[in-house]
Amino acid sequence: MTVYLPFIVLFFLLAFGVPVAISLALAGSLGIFLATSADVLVGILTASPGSALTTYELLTIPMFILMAEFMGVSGITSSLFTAIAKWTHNIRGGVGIATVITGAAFGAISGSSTAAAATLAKTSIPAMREQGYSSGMSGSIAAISGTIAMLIPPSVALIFYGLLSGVSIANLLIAGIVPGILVATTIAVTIKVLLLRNPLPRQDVQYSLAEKFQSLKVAGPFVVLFLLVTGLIYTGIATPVESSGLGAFGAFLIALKSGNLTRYRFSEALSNTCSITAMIGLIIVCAHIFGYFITLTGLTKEMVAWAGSLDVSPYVILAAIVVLYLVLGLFLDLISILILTVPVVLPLVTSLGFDPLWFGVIVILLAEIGIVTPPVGINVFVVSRSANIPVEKIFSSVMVYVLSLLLLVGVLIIFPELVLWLPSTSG
Amino acid sequence: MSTLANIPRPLKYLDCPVRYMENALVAVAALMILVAMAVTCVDVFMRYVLSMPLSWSFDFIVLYLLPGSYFLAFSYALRTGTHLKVDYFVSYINRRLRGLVLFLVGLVAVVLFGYIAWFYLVEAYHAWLDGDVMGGVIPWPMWPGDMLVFVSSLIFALRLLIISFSHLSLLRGGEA
Repeated sequence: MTVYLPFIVLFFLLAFGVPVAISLALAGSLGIFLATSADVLVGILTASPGSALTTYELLTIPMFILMAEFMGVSGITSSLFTAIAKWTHNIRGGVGIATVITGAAFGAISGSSTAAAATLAKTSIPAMREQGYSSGMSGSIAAISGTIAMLIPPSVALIFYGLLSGVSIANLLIAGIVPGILVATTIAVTIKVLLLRNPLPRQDVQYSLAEKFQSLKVAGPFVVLFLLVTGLIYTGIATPVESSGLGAFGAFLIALKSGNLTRYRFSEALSNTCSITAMIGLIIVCAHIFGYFITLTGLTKEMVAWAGSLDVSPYVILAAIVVLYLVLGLFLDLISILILTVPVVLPLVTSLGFDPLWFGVIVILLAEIGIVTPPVGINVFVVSRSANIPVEKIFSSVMVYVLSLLLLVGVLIIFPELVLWLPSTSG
Repeated sequence: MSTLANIPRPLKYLDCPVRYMENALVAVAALMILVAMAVTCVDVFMRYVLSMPLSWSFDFIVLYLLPGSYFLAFSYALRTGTHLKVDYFVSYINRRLRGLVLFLVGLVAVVLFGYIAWFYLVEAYHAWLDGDVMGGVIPWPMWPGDMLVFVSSLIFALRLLIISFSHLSLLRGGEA
């Protein structure tokens, strides 16, 4: 009961709409009290705020959020979409593919999938609708393309996993690149297959080579920022914290040069950064309290011992874990899923002989699927609101992409080298 | 967010200074994030171009800027509805029951964060009295870090109190 009651209380509080952080703090406090004594509880409660937020690497989160906010102000994404669409317009499904590529590119300058989906909805859906895409298809492409941002560095989700698991943040960020490209390719191939079955009318618009190269001007700041952040981390020249600081400063200069950085937008970007950072900070402090409860009860050790006693292949247990993440993804957001599962599931996964770096990428990919599946697929709601497309139309159209991404999860499980190769070559 | 029409009069008076403090704290947090960005960039330049890294930047960031960046906007984020919640099940739960649970849970959270605030105020006072400093190149005083946690937790507890009472309106069939 000592173990189960706090979990029951936690899910009860979450179901009643209590903020995730406060639910974790209260359920964790109850668990610590039941497992030990009031004195230990008081000691942990007072130590947690001071000790939970003293890891230097935590600075990467506000820096990358600030970078994304400044890039949002600069308006580079809509220009980037226009430029990419000029290069892909000759391909069948070119605008859809341009949306996917823009989603991946947006991921390289922002770690937020929701922000990516909202921006893509505004810029790419009108262009897709103009070319004859159905509302459901255009909405689903924007929603699913937004998810790529969670894998392409700088991904706040991967950083958060690194902080929870102790896996090198630099390696995690680099490990997300190949799977991120594979996700983009999978979505693009799915679009092509769908358009083979339901072809679009041919487009008469043609762009000259000069126009195409002219459009690449916008890519300059994007490439500089990508090299500043991912390039420095990959080569090992700078740490993730240093790269994040440079990235935020670079984005500030780009926003300044764009002429869009008014005093109001500057303060809005900063207050958004503070709010999101505080939200993550409170979760980290409260997850610290809940983490103590899990450690004190020895739950993780028991689970590892139990899994070791099972006479089944590690892949059967892994399959069960994948299903668990898919189910959790239906109801919870990524940060909550990571906090609730990583401290318990990761030791189990590593005891089965799987790589924690590889597992981080798999978890984020599964969470990507969760943010476009009903009933709480946040990206679908964001796109629906931004583009005024009924939610059910997008949900029904997005399922085909979900299936193709599940196939990709299978491929990454069979071939973990696809995830682990690039970090093994970094400096 | 709280609906002021639905909370007792003394808490309505409390909302104004708490709101003022939240706005002030978020401004300080924003400043700290900008300073952290600037210090990191200067440190990179000094380290890799001039081979003269800033010896004090790590301690300065970990002791003051990190807690400031993360803690100071706790309450502002609660007021603006940024803190994560699971909304899916809410529509299936009886409104009155939900109002009662949110009110009671809110009060427990007020006690929890109120206690944390009190603890860090005492810690800051003792650190100031004892002249506690961080061992390093620069002996940074420890008490400002404790004060950051105290102020953030106190304002957060007060905002929780205001919001908890606003949930009572659900018991009367209104909106929270």
